Parts: sequence; structure tokens; C-alpha cells
Amino acid sequence: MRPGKLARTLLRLLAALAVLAAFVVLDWYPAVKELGRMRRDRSDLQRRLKDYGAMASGFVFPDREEKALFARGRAELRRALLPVDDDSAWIAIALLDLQAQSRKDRLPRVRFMVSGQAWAPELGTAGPARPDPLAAWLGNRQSAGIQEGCRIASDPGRFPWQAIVAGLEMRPGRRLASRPLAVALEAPLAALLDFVNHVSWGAARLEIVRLHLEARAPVPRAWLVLRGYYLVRGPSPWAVPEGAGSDDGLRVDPDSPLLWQRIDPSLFCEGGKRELPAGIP
Amino acid sequence: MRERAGLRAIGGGRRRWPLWPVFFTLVLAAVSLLLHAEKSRRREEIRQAKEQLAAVVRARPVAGAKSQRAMFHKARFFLDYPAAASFGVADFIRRLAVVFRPREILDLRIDPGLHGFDFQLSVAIAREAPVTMPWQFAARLEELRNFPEIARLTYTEKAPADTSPGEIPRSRGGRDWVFFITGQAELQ
Repeated sequence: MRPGKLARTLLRLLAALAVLAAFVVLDWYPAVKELGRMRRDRSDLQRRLKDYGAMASGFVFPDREEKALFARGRAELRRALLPVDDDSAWIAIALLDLQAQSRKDRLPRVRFMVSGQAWAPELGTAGPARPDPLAAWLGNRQSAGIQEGCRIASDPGRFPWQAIVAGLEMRPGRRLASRPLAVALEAPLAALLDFVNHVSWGAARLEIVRLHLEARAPVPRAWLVLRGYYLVRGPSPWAVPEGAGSDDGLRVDPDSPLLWQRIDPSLFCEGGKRELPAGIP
Repeated sequence: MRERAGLRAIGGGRRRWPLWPVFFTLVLAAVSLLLHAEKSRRREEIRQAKEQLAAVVRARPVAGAKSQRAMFHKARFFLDYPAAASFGVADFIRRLAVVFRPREILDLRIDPGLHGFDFQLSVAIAREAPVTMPWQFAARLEELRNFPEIARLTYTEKAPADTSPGEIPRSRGGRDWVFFITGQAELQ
């Protein structure tokens, strides 16, 4: 072979290899890479489809009865949050609740406080003409504890119902508000404990934030800091800031068997209200 | 001779180019085309699989039903909590007053949380000379520990650190042992 011809042949071979390399690098390699990714995507989708089918076949979907239960639950939630025009209206409702309960439980002495101050003495048992032995006790050692309880109750960082508020369909112009109030009482232990048990049964649905009891006194004495929730129209200093608190205490495991079964309708009727058993010394 | 070699031919003033580069390029292009056709086919398969999955999820919405049920349970918990907490606290004190007589309970503080409550209790047990260790207290503490809701229980003869000096109960002229019990209980 002549040297010139050999050189030309080599040159053509190199040119052909360069074209081949260009195809491989610029087109074939990315295409093969993408084909591999697409194959994985397709297998992943097929697996998800299969898993979903298997999961759905073991899942009990809500029937008409359960959907009605959801609707009743939402309605009850809306009813539980009293709609009021302002904060004072709610305080009045809550205090009347407490007064009615204290009469029902026959408490000999009771005193209501809002923001740590005596409030509406005519609702309690201490009137202008009657001495109030609870006043001295409260003013002496207890006021710091009550103030601290009220501070805890109104701290937005400790608001525990974030998950509920997030799922709530609020009426326009209404905001969720939360306000603490306190009640002090002196009564035989049985009556005192009945009142503690019944304190949340009223329309204001008060939660106990702190309880302090001194049972050694001739007649047991206690104070409770309570908190309630309501829907207030317009701005309120007691409105729960958006996103306040956390839902840590209310997390439901998405894999919990509780979510796979139909809800037992008897749960709806429990209400949580129970009388104390007899047997108080 | 030149024509038989197939490399090039010059005839009638025309230059004849070799054909193999054209075939070579065509073969490469054909491979590219096949690869792109396969890509397009797989893309279509993925689109169909996605549509199928979305249709199945729409037809049998597991996540939606789960979220509705979770919200129902949370709402139920919110609605039942106040009564459950007040019953839990009152019942605990009722049983506590069986273990420690009411006149022995100097001071009790309860702070309920969502699933339980913390408590601080100070009790005064009468000293019975010459007993140095108040075994009565140990027995009653054991009774308290056996309450089903008790999750944690400790006791000390010193007031807890967060008790202000004015709140520390005093023993009656040294006639009582004063114990401070702190604990955590679950709401039943």
C-alpha cells in the first residue's frame, strides 16, 4: 500500500470514529440514560399502582352513615364554640355557668376572678354585707399562683388546639378567642370535688389549667384557673393568633388502624361526662 | 482501475464521492431514531400509568378518608377533653384523699395537660417516736404508686425548687414529717 493511500485511509477511519463518538456522546448516551430513568419511573408507578390497589382493597371506605357522623361531628364542634359579640359577653356566660354549678353543688363559699381580680362579687357568696373569708386566703399566699396560672392559660405558645383551629371553617368576621378566669371555693371535700368534676359541663366548656387545693384547713379550700374558647366578632385582645401553639399533642399516626376502620358511632355519644363514684372520706 | 477501487472516479469532468460515509451516517441516524422512538414509547407508557394511578386514587380516595377520620378523632378529643380532664383530676383527688387523710394533705397543685397531668403534693405525717423512718408514709406512697394512672412519682423532704418560700408548708412545731411528692399521671 502506498503511504499516501494509507494516510488517507487512516484519516477516513479517524473521521468515521469522530462522527461515531459525536453520536454516542451527544445523543445515544443521554438517550440511554433517560431510557433507564424512564424504566425506573415506570416500574415505580406500576408498583405504586399495585400497592395502592392492595391498600384500597383492605381499607374500609366511609359509607353514608359514617359520612353523616362526620357532618354531626363538625356541627357539634361549631356548637361547642360559642359565638359572642365581645369578650365580656363570654365572661358573663362563663360566670353564670359557674354560678349555676356552684349552687347545684351547694358550695358554701365561692368567689370568681377574672384576670386575677375579684369579679362580679354578687355572683359569688360574698356580698357587700357578707364577709368573705376566701379574700384573705387568696390575697395572702395564693395570688402569685393564680396570676401564674392565668399567664399559662393565656400564653399563645401553649395553645394546644392548633390542629382543631386549622380544620375549622370559621364564619366570616369571627375569630377564635381564649380567655382565662379563676374560681376560689371553700367547701367540704365531697362538694368541692363534685364542683371540680362539673366545672367543664356548662355551655362555656371550661378547661382546668391549674388547680390548687389545701385540704387541711377546717374546711378544704381550692382555687382553679380555667380557660374557655369562643368565637368573637371583630378584634379582641384575647383572640388566638393565627398559627399559635402546636398540634404536637394531637398527631394521629397515618398508619394507625383507627383510620382504616369505620368509626364506631357509639364514640359520638360518650361526651366524656361522668359522675364521681361514691367513697369520698 | 480507479472506478473498480470504488474510492473515486472522474469521468466526463465529474468527481465521484465515496458512498460509505453516507451509509455510515445513515446507520448512526437510524440507531438514534430507534432510541428516540423507544423514549417516546416509554414516555407514553409513563403518562398512561400516571393517569391510571390518578384515576384509582380519585375513585378510591384512601388519603381523603383517612384525613376525615383523623379530623373526627381530633375534634372528638377536643370536645371530650374538658370533661375528661376535670373528671380525671377530681377522681385522682378523691382517691388521694383515701390514701392520705384530708387533714394530712397540706397542699396539692395539679397542672393538667392534654394527655395527663403533673402534680405536686405536700403531706404532713404525724411523727411517732421513737420511729425514725415514717413507715406509714412509705406504705401510703406505695399505695399512691399503685394508682393505675401514675406514670412517674418522686418524693423528697425538701420543697421543690420552684416553690416560693411563702408557699412552703410548715410542720406543726416538729410534730409532723413533711414530705413533698411530685409526679405525673395519665388521664384515664
